[in-house]
Amino acid sequence: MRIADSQVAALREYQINAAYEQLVQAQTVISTGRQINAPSDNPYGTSVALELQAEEAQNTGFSNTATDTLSWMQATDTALSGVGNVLTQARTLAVQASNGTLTSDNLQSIASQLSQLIQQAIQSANSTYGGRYVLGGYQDHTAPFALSADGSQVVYSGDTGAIDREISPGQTMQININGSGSAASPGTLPTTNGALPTAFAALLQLQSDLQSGNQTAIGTTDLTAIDQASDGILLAQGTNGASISRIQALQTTLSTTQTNLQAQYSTIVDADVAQASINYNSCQVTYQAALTIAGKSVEPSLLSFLQ
Amino acid sequence: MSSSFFGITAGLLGLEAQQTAIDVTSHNVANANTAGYSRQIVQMVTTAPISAPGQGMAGAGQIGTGVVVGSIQRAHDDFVQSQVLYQNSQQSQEQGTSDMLTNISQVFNEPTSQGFGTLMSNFFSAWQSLANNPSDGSAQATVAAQGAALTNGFQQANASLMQQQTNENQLVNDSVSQINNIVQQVANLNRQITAVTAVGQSPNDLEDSRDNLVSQLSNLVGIQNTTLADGSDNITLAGGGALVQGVSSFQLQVVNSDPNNPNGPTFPMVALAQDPSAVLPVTGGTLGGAIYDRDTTIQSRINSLNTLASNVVSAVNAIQHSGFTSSGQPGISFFVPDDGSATAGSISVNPLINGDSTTNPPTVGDPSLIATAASAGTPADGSIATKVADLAENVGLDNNGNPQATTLPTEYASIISQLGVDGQQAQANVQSGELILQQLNSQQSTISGVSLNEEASNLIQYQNAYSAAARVISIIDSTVADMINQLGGS
Repeated sequence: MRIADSQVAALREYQINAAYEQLVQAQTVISTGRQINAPSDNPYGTSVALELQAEEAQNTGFSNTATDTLSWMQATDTALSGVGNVLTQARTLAVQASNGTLTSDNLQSIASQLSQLIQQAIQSANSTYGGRYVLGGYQDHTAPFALSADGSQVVYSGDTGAIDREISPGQTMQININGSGSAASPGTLPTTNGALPTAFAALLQLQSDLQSGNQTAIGTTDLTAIDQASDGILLAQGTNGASISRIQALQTTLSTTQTNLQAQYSTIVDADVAQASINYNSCQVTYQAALTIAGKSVEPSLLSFLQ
Repeated sequence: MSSSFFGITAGLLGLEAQQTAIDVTSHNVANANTAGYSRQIVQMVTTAPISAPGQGMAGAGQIGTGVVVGSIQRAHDDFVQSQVLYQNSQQSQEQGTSDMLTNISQVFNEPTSQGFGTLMSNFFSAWQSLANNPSDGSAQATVAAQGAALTNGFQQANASLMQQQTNENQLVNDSVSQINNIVQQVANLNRQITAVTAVGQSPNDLEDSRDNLVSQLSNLVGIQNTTLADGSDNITLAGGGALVQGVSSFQLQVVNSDPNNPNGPTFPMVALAQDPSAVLPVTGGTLGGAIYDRDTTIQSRINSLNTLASNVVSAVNAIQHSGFTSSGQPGISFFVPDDGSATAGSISVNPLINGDSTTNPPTVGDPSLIATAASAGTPADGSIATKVADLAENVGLDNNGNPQATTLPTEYASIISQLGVDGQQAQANVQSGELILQQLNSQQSTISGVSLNEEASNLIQYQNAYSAAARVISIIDSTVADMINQLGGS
């Protein structure tokens, strides 16, 4: 084959360019630490990486939701415990008051102690988390529990709202307990949402019996009612507690998922430094070889030997 | 018997022919690195023989009278040349598309944590937080702010893409003026070449210059080149439309509208200056590439972005309209415009929610107008905000309550994936095209390129022949001198 000199030069230039381009690509991978620097480097990988990124953002969102939900439920638990403590103290007062030797003045004095406790229970039931009333259903802007003007009952101004949160993709969970249920009739276990009304009803009945000096009722039905109310509060706390453990388990899952997502993203997008270095070295060898050959390829021609 | 001086004439012709051959060789060597140069070959032919005059009719027969240079041809292959022209046009279009796809990738900046996808993730994460605290002012403000960041992202991406289209239009203008310049020069060369061809000579160097120009032209636009018997090149655009016919050239013109076809293609387009109403179907080369990239490569990304923007608007607004704010007001559109006309360029957060800094005085928005609850008067209910956040999830539901086929993030991922596939394809095309072009050029060099070894070898041949011819003359000279001296000796 006839070889023209310009052909040799063009081939030399083409080969050096090709080797240099590969070297620069290998260098980019190392200097950015990423094997996908543009979608065209790996279109499928890029789209997977984008979806992993979106999933990770979502997972972080669920993780934040879990943290917030946990705090909300702990606030709920604190509120319920507050009411539970009041019931325990009220029971002590009731036992004390059922003692037949007490005078009417003594009973009045116990009644006023109880009325302080009732205020305390209302305050506890009106607990907030982040400025939101946790036990009022959807009505988180207004205090849900208040004593009526004549002091005869605790009025619930919240609603039946069940606050559902999406705690993981497609899974929702009710995170709140409200006071919308009705007080349980004697001898039955209060519903979760009826625990607070039952407690307030028992406390108010005790107060009314103390004021009227009905020691028989205090010692019998009132004590039973307070025990029933305590059971109700414990039940509500139990329900809430079960949700808390569910959320805590979820947090573990979410954090594992987060690690997995990051690892998957890294596998697809990040460069394997060892491999990238080897690749870079081999590109460098090719490039240097191309340069060396080019340097030597100015071979003597026939003209060199003509005198 | 022939004349005693007969051999001197033949020797002289030999000297002249070898001298010409040496001159052509030096021309070849001098142009070893000239772009588009085709090496030239001396074709020597014998002069017309004469019948040797003998004693009587039975002579020895015909006797040669020497040599002349019949023609100086260039070594050239029209077939390879036409392949080079085609490949040039393909290659510069592919290169343009590949470069453009790289530019577009930079607009989206994926996959990074600063890309457009992150803006979208942040937006939906903000809704997740809002669902946890529906009446919280800061959660509402975050949603409004992330919404604004997302719409800015749409607008900026759209503006960058439209800027690329403007650049392509500039390229159309530049290419057209270069093409006009070249076709004029080609027509001028056609005039000179036909004049030389008419007197039976080979206008080698003129043809090389013209080939070089035509090759440059093929980089600018796809063309078809036909060489006629009179030596002139007729050049037409690959899609039809004469640029050069003999000695006449036809100028192109950039046209910005077509009165006959108002719904026609995107403008500016290209037409012949003499007939501006007939838009030419230009393909190949920088010019064809610029038009293709503007109308297809870039436009398809703009269209995808517009679809995505419109889907985001309709999905979010539909959910918003079905809900109530935490203060019990019916939901309003989160994004505007809400009449189905939203595009990547026009999408923005409702100024009632996010304010409007363009009015004087600037209006302040009220993020508490974002709907979060499914019914009025239930401030703690965040189910509507959850529904919006679900748009980002695989479990999201469409307007009919059915699981969505694609979510907004996957829709976006598929746009980027398509961009990547196209970019990879374009890069592969450029690489393989480069290889083909390199091989064609190599093939062309094999035929037309100057080999210094060959020229040196020719030089030895011509030099020896020249010396030999000179020697022949000198020997004839001494023969004649001998004859004169001995015959005339005293």
